[in-house]
Amino acid sequence: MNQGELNILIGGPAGAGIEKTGRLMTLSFVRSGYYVFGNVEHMSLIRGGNNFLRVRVGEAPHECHVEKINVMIALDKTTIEEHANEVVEGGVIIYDGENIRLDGIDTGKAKMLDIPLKNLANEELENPVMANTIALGALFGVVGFDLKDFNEVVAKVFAHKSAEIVKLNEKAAKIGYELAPKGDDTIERKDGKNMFLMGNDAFTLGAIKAGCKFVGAYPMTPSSTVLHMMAKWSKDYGIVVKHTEDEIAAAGSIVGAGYAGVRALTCTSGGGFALMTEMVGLAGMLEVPCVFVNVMRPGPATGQPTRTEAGDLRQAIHSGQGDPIKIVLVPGTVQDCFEMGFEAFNLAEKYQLPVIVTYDKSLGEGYFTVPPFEDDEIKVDRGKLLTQSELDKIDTYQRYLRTEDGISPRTIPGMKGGTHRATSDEHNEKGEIFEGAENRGLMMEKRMGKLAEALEDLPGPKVWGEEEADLTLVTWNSTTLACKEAADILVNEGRKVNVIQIRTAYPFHAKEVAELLGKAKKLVAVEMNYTAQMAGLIAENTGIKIDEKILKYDGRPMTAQYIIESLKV
Amino acid sequence: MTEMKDLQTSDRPNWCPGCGDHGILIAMKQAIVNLDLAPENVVISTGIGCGSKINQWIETYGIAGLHGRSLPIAMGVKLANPELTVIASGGDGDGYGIGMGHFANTMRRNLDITYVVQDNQIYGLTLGQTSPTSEKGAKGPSTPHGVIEEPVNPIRLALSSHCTFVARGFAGDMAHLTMLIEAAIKHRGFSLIDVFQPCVTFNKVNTHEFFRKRVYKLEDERHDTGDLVKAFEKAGEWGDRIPIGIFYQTEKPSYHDEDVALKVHNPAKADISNVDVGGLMESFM
Repeated sequence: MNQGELNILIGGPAGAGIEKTGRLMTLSFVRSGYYVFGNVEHMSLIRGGNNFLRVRVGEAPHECHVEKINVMIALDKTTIEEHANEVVEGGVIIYDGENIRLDGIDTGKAKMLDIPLKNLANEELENPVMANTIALGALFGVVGFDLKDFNEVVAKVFAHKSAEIVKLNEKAAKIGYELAPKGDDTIERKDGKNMFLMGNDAFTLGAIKAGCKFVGAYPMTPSSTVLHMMAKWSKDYGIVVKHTEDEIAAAGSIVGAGYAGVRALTCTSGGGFALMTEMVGLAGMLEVPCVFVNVMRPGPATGQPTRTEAGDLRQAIHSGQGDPIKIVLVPGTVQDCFEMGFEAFNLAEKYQLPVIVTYDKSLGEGYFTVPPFEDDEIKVDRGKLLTQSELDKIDTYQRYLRTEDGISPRTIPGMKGGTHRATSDEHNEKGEIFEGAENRGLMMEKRMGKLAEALEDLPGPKVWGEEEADLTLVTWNSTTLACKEAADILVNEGRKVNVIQIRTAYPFHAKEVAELLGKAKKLVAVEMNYTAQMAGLIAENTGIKIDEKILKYDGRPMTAQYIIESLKV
Repeated sequence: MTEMKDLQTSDRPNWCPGCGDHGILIAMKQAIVNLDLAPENVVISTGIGCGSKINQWIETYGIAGLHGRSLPIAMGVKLANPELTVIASGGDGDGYGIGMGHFANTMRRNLDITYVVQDNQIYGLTLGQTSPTSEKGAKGPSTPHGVIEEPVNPIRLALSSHCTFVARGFAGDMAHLTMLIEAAIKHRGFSLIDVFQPCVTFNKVNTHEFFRKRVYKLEDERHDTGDLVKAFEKAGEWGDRIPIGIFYQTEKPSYHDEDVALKVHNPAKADISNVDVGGLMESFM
């Protein structure tokens, strides 16, 4: 691999099988020991329009996308029209000249490789669906990537189908491969055994590891893959997965399951979360553990269903009326997704409150290459959940007993001697509705006090790069990945740049963040929203105002290039 | 043996004297005693409203949640631990107004939940507005010129929503209501009991006297509870004679009998100390 990385774009109309073709390709590179980052951009429709998949293949991990292309597979004219200008010197566009007429299109610096994909698929293989695989074979030929790994991937992916389909794919790829002109670059096999997965997959893995056994959810892009993966593994892991009538019922069902002592999750995006907020408040008041994941897309209202943004920070913190009783975690890397997917359930049970995990579509539906997660050291912690024998020793059990740390010993239905009512109205230590002024004050302090107690347990701000820098990028969510890459590029140019990533939004690590930011020489906030929500939160909690901001709210992912160009202005 | 005193809470009901809810509370407790259910194995989920306070005064587990949401919460409890007896309860505004979507969808799931609706055809706690079951023309502070729309018929709605146990009770007949609640709890599947519960403060039309004069028992007329068409016909009766009792009952597998995960185990009793996800991670390689 000449430049240490290879950038590929596959584009075409929705329904053309781009994702499936892309998957076979990326799995082949991952199997061969390379790091692949993938990002799918699609329109909110089932067929037609123009969708594309961007993939970065590298010897080292790259975890944000870049607007340059070495090889493109164009399954329609629009793909060439919109992206040919990104093709670098020496780059190749694979297309079918019988379907796409080039007249009038500026193909820039690209070398055009015309292969009669459709005709070959029909005539040689008697199967029109194989056109994409022929194109893929041609791509492998162009970049000098042996078909061995591809053939192994096909055998694995289609194992549950017929041997005939495996053979057909192998044959199709070979046809394309042989038609491609061979360049002087080749991609050699490397060692390494990695996973290739989305942020949503990583979060779900963490949740399953944590013993999540109930999921109540209503589908909403870009969170639905969490629901789908849970449903797929429902039987194997004994996870009850209920697709409910709406988001209110979904959130209500996890409050019920959490109350009954089962680790419960709901997944949604901003619009669905808006409906769930009454249940966030209820779980806070009842002190019931449960976990909400909100995978963000551009709002307000329907916004851009399949695009990306990080604009729900305030909605997460202030969901529900009154003072917020909850924890809000904001992962920024695929590793964070796994760790927080696990830890959210521990925190929910330890502090007996709802935990909201929120991250953007770029992270949730972006594909990353990572080694298998280390899960030997992490331990399930159920907090003050009583055992029957512990409960037997208590004379008069009180569910909302005031304790030093504000956390009361908890019973669940089925435990003898632990009956109580969890009541949405203000209540006394027994759980009975009680309107007294003194009691109200004490109960407020009990619930809110848990947050101060929890802070130490929550993931603090993380510094990427050197402690000392002339320029510090302050960020959260997957924008962290673009910031990291921008910092790396600038450091290579001899500048001193680092990144501070905020990982918990509520309660806030005011002291730690103030200390870190106080040391910085120059601060720039980098966010995927219009109002610089995290910078606002930082100002609110630390008094530190970040004047310089790089904000992106066009629904498309942040890139290192965008950050660097913005810094130069 | 569970006795009435085991279900007694330290504080006492604060409903208006003469409220139909007092009768429903006693009937619900009596049914739990008659079935000898251990208090710790019963969870009562309620919404918001006068009737939704019922679980404050029964010493079992309970969630007093949000307006209209007793059923989603009850669903979560039942699917988390199917061994529990789950009862949901709330008023007509709670269940047939704000909670209507949950009501219709929970019925078609045939979750093994007993749903007792205190139907007083009025919003009591918010001081007397008309409700989804108020008759056309009924007046209240939010509808001083009379309700324009037709009332919800919860019995007919249940019959057309695959509800497997559909009944109506009267708070003024506690022995009969106790029998209905017992039968509903024993029924393996979703059961609705719509209970006439006169609001002595705000509803001056549908009073104890109003119902006492009109109600008759379906069982006294040898109604066939297996006949859906007949049940639908009976559910339309309103006027001088109003039927109470079991309109319809049928046996079908309950939701938790068919869920793939619940066939494997009871989630509330699962060992979650160290779930192995090695195989899952392998699937991403």
